[in-house]
Amino acid sequence: MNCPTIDKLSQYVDQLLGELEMREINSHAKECDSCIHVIEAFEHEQQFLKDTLKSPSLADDFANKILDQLKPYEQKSLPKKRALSKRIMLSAAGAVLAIGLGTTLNPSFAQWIGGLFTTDQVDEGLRMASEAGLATRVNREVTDQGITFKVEDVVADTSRVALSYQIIKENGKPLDTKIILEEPFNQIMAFDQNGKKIDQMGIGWTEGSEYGLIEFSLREQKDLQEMTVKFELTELNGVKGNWELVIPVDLKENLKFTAKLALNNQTFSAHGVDVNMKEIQFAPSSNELIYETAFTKEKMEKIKDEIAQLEERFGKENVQTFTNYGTAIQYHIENKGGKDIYKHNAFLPGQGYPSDVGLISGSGDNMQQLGQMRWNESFIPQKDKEQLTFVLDGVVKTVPSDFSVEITSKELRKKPISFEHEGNFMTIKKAEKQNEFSLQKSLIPIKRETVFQIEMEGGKEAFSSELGAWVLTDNLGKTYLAYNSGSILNEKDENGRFKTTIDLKIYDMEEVPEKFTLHLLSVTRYNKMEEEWKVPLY
Amino acid sequence: MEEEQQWLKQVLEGNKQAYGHIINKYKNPLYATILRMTKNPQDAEDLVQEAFIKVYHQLGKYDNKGSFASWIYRVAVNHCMDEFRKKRYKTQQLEINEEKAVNPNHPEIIFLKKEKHRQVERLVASLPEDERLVILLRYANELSYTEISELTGFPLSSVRNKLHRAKKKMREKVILEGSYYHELSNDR
Repeated sequence: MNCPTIDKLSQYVDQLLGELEMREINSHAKECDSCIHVIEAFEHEQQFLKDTLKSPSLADDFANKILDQLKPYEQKSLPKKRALSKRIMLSAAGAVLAIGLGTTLNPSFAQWIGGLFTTDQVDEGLRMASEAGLATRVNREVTDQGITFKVEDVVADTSRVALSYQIIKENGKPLDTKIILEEPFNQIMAFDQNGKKIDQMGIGWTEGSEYGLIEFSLREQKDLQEMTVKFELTELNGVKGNWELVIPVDLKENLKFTAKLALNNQTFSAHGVDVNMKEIQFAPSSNELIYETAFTKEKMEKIKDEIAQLEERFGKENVQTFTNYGTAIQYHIENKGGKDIYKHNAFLPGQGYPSDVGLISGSGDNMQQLGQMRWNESFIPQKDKEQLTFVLDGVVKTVPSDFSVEITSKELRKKPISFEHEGNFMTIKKAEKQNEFSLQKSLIPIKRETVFQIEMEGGKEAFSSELGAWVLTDNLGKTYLAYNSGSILNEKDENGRFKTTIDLKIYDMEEVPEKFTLHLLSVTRYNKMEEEWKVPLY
Repeated sequence: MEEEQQWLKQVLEGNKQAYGHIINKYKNPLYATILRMTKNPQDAEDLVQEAFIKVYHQLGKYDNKGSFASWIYRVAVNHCMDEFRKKRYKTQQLEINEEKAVNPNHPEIIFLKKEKHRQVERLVASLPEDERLVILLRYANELSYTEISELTGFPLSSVRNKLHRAKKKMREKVILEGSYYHELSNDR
C-alpha cells in the first residue's frame, strides 16, 4: 500500500474512515515511519485540542447555586395536575390576614415521612423552622362516623403556630382536607394561657392534597407562654359528626429562638404620610417588621373635610363602605452589600401594580385616627444572618376623589366613552342590565337578581394612581353603591400602559336611567421618595 | 455509569443533593462548549445554569434508552443553543477577545494565556458555528459521532465531514501563520 494522504491519516486518527480503510492504514502504519510520525503528530494535536477545549472550569460552588433553586422531586409521581390554592381569610375586625398553601403539584403524601412542613407546600419560613427542629409530631386524632381527623405536626415559634392535619377514611385513605368554617358548625379556636382568644387564624387548603394547614399568627401577642388549639368540627367531607380535639402548644422553649429589636419610634414624614418604626423580630419561621403609618396632621384635616363633603352628597354609608381611606408605605430591606432581600408594595419591573418579594404575610390594623394603621409584615427568614437595613421607597395614600364621568345611555350605545384620570386611560364599553344568579349558601333558594353592569377597559401608566370606589347617581339624584371587580394585568397595551379593566355592578336599580353619573370616591396615589430614608435593623 | 444511575434514582426519589454529582460531572465540559459558542463568560455561565435547571425538571423523561450522557447533553446543549441563537444580536456586538472572554484572574484558566492555547482558541473561534459546535462536542465533551448527530440533528456523514473540514481549516491557518503544526506541512 502506498502511503495514505495527510487527509486520510487525519481521518484515521479521528476514526472517520470505514472499517476496511481503518484496518489498511493500521497495518501500513506499522511498517511506515513517515506515516507513524504524522499519526503521532495528529494524535498529539488531538490531545492538545482536548486539553485546551476542556477548560476553563466553573467555580466549585456552581452546583450549589443551582441546587438552591430546585425543589426536591416528589417521591411518587401522580398524574400531573396543577392544584388550585384556595385562601380563606378569617380575621379580627379591621385586620387583614391571609395565608395559603403553595400552588404546587400535588405529591403523594403517604410516603412523606417528614410531614407537610418538610415539603414545598408550605412557605419557606415554615420549612426552615421545621429544619431547625421546631416541628413536633403530635399525631393527635379523633374518629367519628368512620372519619378520622388527625393533627400530625405542629410548628411553633413566637411569630406563628402552624398545624398540619389530615382527614382520613376508615380504610386509611386520606380525604380532601377542606374544612368549611362556619359558625356554629366547624370551629377552630386558639386561646392563650389566660384563656384569651387568639383571633388571627388562617386555614390553607389545596385541592386534591392529603394535608391541610392551619396557622395562627401570634403577631403582637404579648407574653404568650402556652397556647391551646381547640377543634370543634361537626362536618367533614360532607359527613356530619362530632370531632373534638384539643392540642396544647408550649411556646416557652421556643421563645429563646427569637431575637427582637426595638426600632425606637424612629419617624419620617413625606407627602402627607408619617412613618413610625416600632420593632423587628427574627423568629425561626419569619422575620417580622412592625411599624405604623398615618396621615400627617395637616393632611388629615384636609381629608376629613373632603370626606364630609362626599358624605353629604352621597350618603355616609355609601362613602364609608369601600373607600378604605388610609396610608401605607413602599419599602425594601437590603443586606449589607446593598442587595434587595425583601420588597413591600414595590413596583417590580414590568409590573403594573405594587407587589412584594419575600413576603409571607402582612396585616394592617386600623388604629384610632383616620388612616392610621399599625402594620406587621413577615418575611421568609434569611439562612445567613446578616445585617439588614430598611429603606423607605415611597408612600401610599388612599384619599378622597372628586372625579366624575357623565354618561348618556343612548350615546354609549352608539360609541364607547373614554376618559383619563391620574394616568388611567379608560373607555366605558358598555353599561347594561344583566341577570345574575345568586348562589347564596343558605336555605334561601337560588335567587335571580338583576344588576346594572358597567364595563370599562383601558390602560394604566406605571406608578399612576389606582382608581378605587365608585358610586352612581341617577338623574333624580339617587345614589347607588357600585361593586368594583377590576383588574390590572402585567401586560401592556399598544400605548405601553398596563391593561386595566373596571367592572362595576350596581344592584337594586329598578330602571336604568337615560342619564347617570359615575363618581369616584377614592383614589390610591403613590409618591416615590426623592431621597431614601434608611433604618438599620441591627 | 452505575454510579450515575444511582444518582439519578436518588434525585427522582426526592434527594435533590444527588443532582449535585450530576452537575459536577457535566458542568465543565458543557461550560467549555457554551463559552466558545457564546464568546461571553457570563452568558455562558447563565445558560449552563439554566440548562441544568431544565435538565433537572426533565429528569423524569429520561427513558434509559440511550446513554444518560447523551441525553443530558441533548437537553442542555439544545437549550443553550436555542437561547444563544435568540441572543445572537448580543454576542455579535461583543468583539471577542480571549483576555476578556475568559477571566484572566481565574486560577484555573491562567494557562490559557499560553500562546499555543491562545492560538487554538482563536482558530476555534474563527470556525463557522456548526463546525465549531461539532469540534467542541467531540473534544470538550468527548461525544461519539452518533451522539453528536443525534444531538445536533446533522446526519452522521455530515458530522464527520464537519469535524474533518474544521480541523483542515485550522491547520491551513496555522500553516499560513508558520507556527505550531509546521512539522505536518510536508505535502504528499
